[in-house]
Amino acid sequence: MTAAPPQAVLTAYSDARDEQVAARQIAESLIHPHLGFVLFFCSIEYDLDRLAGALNGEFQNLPLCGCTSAGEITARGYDRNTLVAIGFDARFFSAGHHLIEHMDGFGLLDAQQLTDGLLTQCRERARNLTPNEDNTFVLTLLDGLSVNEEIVIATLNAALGSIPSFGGSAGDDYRLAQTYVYCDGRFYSDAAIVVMISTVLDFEVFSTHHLHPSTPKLVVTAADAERRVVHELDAEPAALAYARLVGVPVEQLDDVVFARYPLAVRINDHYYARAIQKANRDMSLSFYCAVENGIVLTAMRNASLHDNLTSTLDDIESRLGPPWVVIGCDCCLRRAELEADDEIPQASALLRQHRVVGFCTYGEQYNGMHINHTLTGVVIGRKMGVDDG
Amino acid sequence: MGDAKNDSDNARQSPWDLHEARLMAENARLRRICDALIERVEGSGMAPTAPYAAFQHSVVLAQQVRERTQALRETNRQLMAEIEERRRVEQRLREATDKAEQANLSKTKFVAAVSHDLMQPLNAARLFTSALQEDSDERASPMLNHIDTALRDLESLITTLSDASKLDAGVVSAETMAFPLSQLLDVLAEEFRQMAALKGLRFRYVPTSLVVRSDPQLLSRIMRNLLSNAIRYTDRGTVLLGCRRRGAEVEVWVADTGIGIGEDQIDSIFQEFKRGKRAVEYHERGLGLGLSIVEKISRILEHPLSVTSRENQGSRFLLRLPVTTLSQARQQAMAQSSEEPSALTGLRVWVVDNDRAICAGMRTLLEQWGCQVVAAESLPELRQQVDVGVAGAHVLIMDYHLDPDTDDGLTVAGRINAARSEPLPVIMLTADREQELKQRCATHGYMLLYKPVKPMKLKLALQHVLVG
Repeated sequence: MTAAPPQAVLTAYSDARDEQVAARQIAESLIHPHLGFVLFFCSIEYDLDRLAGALNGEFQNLPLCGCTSAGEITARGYDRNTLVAIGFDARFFSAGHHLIEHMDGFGLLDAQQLTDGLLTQCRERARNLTPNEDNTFVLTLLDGLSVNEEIVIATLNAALGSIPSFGGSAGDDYRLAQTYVYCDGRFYSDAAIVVMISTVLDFEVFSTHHLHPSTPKLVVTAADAERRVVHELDAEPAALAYARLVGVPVEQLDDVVFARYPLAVRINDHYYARAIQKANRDMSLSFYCAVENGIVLTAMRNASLHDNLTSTLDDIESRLGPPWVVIGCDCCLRRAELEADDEIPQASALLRQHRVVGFCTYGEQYNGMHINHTLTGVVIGRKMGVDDG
Repeated sequence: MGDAKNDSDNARQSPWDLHEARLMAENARLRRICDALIERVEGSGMAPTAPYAAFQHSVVLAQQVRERTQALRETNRQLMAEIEERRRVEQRLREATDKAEQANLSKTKFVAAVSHDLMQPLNAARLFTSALQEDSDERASPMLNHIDTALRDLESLITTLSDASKLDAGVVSAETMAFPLSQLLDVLAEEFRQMAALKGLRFRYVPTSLVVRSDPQLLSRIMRNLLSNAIRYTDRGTVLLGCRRRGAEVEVWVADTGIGIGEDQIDSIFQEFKRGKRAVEYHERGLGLGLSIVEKISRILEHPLSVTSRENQGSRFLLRLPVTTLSQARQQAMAQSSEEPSALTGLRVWVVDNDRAICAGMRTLLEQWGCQVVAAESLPELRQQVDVGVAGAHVLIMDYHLDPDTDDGLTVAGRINAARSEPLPVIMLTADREQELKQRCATHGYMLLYKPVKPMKLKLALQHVLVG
């Protein structure tokens, strides 16, 4: 096994406003004879039909998957209104992908067939490896407003077995109107893309956050589980109860407040953030993830995002060596918090340093869990003992 | 109007009514919370079909995976620790082995020291017996013979122990040289012919004129062991010592018509302290080291040793030695030394040995051979008797180990010869079989004899010195 050449993973971005230009710029950077698969994230600002056409034209028959975002992470760090893409060299990666068109009908049998199909694709395309559960991971891109992420992800995870998986929910720059995933020439909503990637390189799927529990707790006393809406907390209008808890007038509740004062459920010894999407006029709160009557929400405190990210990635890199790329699914509220604290430049520097490329999500997926307030992704490192020195 | 009425209603409410109303509201709120929690608790056992339940289910699964991974990692860590521990144990075992080897070495040194100290009085005793035998009356003779035999057995036991411990310690190395095999075997044949005769056995010797490359000392020990075994374990018939050329090698045989060795024991006879069942019956005092020594020495000499035997019919040991040739000069030297030994009468011999008994024994023996003896326990004592620088003498018999904290025999001999215009030939006596001493003697041109000195050997040595 020789050292991976620089193009084992290529990344590119374009801030061109015109879809054709953006697609062409990406293609010019990524296309080489061994390019096997392309993953991209794009701003909702683009005309998606035009963008789909342009990408189709540039990449022809190459497998291409992606989704819309609530902001991108490019080689510049946190970015907006861009198209960012990752190209995988077929000599080092074998990828298969599948579109789930109707998320609400997705059952275990579908998940099993899908997993088998993806493994078959990976095996057929593999050049230098035999895909198995040790050299394979799965990336999920889901419609972020579908409210079906939990069921789809949990079902998929049951079929994936010990294959690690991660992913993100597509965003739409906080419009909260419609999010899209892209597959084979067009964008879809209420859909999910599952990408399976086998590689000869070392990798590690991770999820990290910087939240710690504090004392106050709120009980959900009225909720619409189907729509992820909490009407009441502690038998009071949810927005009022929350606003009082965080000490902010109810009319001032916004993304920054939600980012700074997250709520989380405790399951056994661990806390899982339940990110608030918006405060509604009827004093209810909409969430980015599943909620239910009777769950107990714990107020969380934010530690240093910067320190947490540094230690997490340093730790992984101590095992894998310097990464080729880190594909990151970063909760949109993390970005909101950084923006409010004026810490975007430092965070961007950190992301650049660790070669993170990805997008801001409406929710992250990690080994079957749909979670919030995290950075979740995969570090693709150099094969140990090959490239060092 | 209506507002005014309400106001007046409120105004009519007492603080107690307000307080009660607040408590009622709070109570209702808490009941709502309770209901929600109850609903949640009661629903928690259901299958995860709802989104939150699916999420919770996934979390629990993931946590289990994490815990199991953690457990595996812990197991792995423990295994690594165990491997490390095992490595440490191995290290300690190695250290223990080293210590045991050290202990073995010091045991060897101890045995060597004890053997040396035992040899001194034994040596003296044998010299006395030998002297007595020379002129004993018929009545005393058999007893003297018994004493001599007993002493010889004792000597052989001590030598065996000492040899075995040295061989174990690996301090014995071969010093090979080319020499006519007959030079060694003739002497042995003569010696053992007499022993065989004592038991009424026929002793056949087939000599050879071949020259071999071997260490005469070590080879002699092998042959002695084999021959004495052959005689010891044979009651009637013949003991054969024979040679036969086989290409570039010569086979030396020691065959007997003795008790033989059972087939089931033939593999173990070369092991230490292993003696054939019948061998034990025959010879109670043996240590069972003889053949193991033979085998070890044959390995050091690289002389292949083999044995064939049939119970009650006899054994045949066969040693293979490489054949070589002597240089012309060497042959001449051998020819000279093999001339008829001149009489020792009138030979002036100086003996220096710190053991008074040995001094006395030497004097008795040498005087019987007609020598004129000056015996001293140290150099100063010798100087009291003769002027070492000028007094006439033919040979100096020097003990190597003199009193502690004084010079050793080599140094004393050097002193004496330094004072003389013509150096004296020196016969160095020692029980110390160290290679180093052997070499130092060779450098000085001294002849080396090992204690206990047998009279015959001493006689030959004296003759050799005179011829040289």
